[in-house]
Amino acid sequence: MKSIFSTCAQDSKRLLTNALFWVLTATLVVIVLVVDLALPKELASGGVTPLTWNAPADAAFGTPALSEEALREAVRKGDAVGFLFGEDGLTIVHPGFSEKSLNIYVLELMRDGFTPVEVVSLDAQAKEIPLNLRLTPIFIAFEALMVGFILGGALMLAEKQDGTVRALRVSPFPVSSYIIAKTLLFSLIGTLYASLICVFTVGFSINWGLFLPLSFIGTAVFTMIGLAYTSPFRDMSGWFFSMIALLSINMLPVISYTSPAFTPFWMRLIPSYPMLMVYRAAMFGGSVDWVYTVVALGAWGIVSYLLARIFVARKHLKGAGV
Amino acid sequence: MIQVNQVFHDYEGKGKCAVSDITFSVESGSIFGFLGPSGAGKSTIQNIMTGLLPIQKGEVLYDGKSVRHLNTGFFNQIGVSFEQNNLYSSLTGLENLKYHAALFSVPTVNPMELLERVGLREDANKRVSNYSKGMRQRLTFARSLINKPQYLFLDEPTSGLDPKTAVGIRELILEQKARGAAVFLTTHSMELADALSDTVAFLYGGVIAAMDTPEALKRVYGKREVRVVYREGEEERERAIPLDDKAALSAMLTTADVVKLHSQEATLEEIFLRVTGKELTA
Repeated sequence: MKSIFSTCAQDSKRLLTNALFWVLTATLVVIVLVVDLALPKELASGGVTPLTWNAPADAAFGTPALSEEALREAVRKGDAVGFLFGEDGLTIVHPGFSEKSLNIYVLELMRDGFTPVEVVSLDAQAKEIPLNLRLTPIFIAFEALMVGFILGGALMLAEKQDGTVRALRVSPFPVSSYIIAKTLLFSLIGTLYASLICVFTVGFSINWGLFLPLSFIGTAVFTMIGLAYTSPFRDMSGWFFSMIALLSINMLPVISYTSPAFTPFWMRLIPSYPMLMVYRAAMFGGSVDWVYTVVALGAWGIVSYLLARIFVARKHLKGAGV
Repeated sequence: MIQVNQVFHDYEGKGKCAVSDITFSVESGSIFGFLGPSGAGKSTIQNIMTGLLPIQKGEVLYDGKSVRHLNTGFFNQIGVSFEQNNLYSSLTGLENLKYHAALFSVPTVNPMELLERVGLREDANKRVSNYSKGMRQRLTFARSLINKPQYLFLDEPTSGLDPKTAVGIRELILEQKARGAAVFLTTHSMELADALSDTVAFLYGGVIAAMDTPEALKRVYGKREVRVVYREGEEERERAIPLDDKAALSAMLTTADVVKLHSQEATLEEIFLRVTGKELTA
């Protein structure tokens, strides 16, 4: 334990002289300013996808859903508004829109010759989420949770460049302790960053019991993936550009976050997907698919640790008690 | 005791060994000087001995236990001072030692005491990025002693140091030997190796070209003669007299106006040149 805490302490001192650390910290401030000042609040429910079921051929709006249940599930998640065409007429299913927002849809429908016979809210507690706040989970997932991936990798590369990794290799510092030390430090920093972004944008009124553990676990997973990924690299040049490619793949769930109708199975395998969904629930309310979330995050936790252990041992701390 | 038995290492696996058939041992409480020019294979051997490189062929034993089967805890007994100093430059000298001490699960030396011994006490709280090359070298050396290692690997420990500081470092190395550590000293400095080593080995082209105590090597490769400079009239003349020719030596000393006497004992540098045909610094 002494070696783990000592490594955390010295890594945090090293971070203060690392340019990337200050870049990420400045990015945090920029994100808060953009969300609070630059992104529009008025486009309420922006990004909500209109889904239809059993729509007649002349209905020129919305995307046909795969099934009525799929439509209701997408609406329940808060990212779609549904138009169910039944024998009795048209029913609008929404995740809790305001009357004002609903009127926009009703007017558009009437212009197309349809009159809704029923309006159903699937979440009476749900409140309309302004666009700028709706994007906050994305910023958190791809900035705050990534600090471990980026900064952990940067510290590892610095260890290679200044040769300190050679001293670690001939010390009794186990690979597991090395991974735990880095993961612990960056999980705390990631949680702090995520909390700061949330507090300065959405505010204090969120489900912290969900938000804090998710931030900690999410940063831990990405830190360990970052340690594994960085281990084979010797310097920043090759690492940085390939890292951007990897992080781009990790950002794909943003598509499903903003357009839930497009959630193929493979999207749910990307680690950022469950994190985005749980962040939304933690910050704005709504349901969480607990089975999927626990299984996905648990599996990624185990996989990322095993990857980190293998790659850090073989490619970074080779020889030191592998 | 460290035993290195018939070690070979081929980096590319193409049959061209960087080191071949290396065999020697380092007794506890002794200093083994490992001498050779750059590229001779010194680092390869040290890396194999410290577990940084896997053993391909041969064996390295620490008190009879193979390095292949040693666990992480074994590194509690090792200290390594690298030639290229590898320190956390954004931390102070004291922080570097404190951090390294925290990695060990055995009693460690007070970092300030070590800094005092290597002349860095007053610079303990300076960032290493502000240290000179010599100061970094001393800190790297101090770090290798933090865990009172039983097996100490020193790579050019006095390189770039001023004579006074180098003497202090030599004393510290001898203290490690006195407390029973097995010291593996890699150096270009024949003077340092001669002054400290109980045994020296010359590594050249990946093989050990000669190995013995410095005295034995000097006996074998040196000339047993005395070169006498004496005055004859206004001129200075020179004559070599074999040490076995006691009569001639006695006559010279009693009858001639002797100016200088030089024993013709070979230096390690000369022995290396004679054994390998190359300068050590080549």
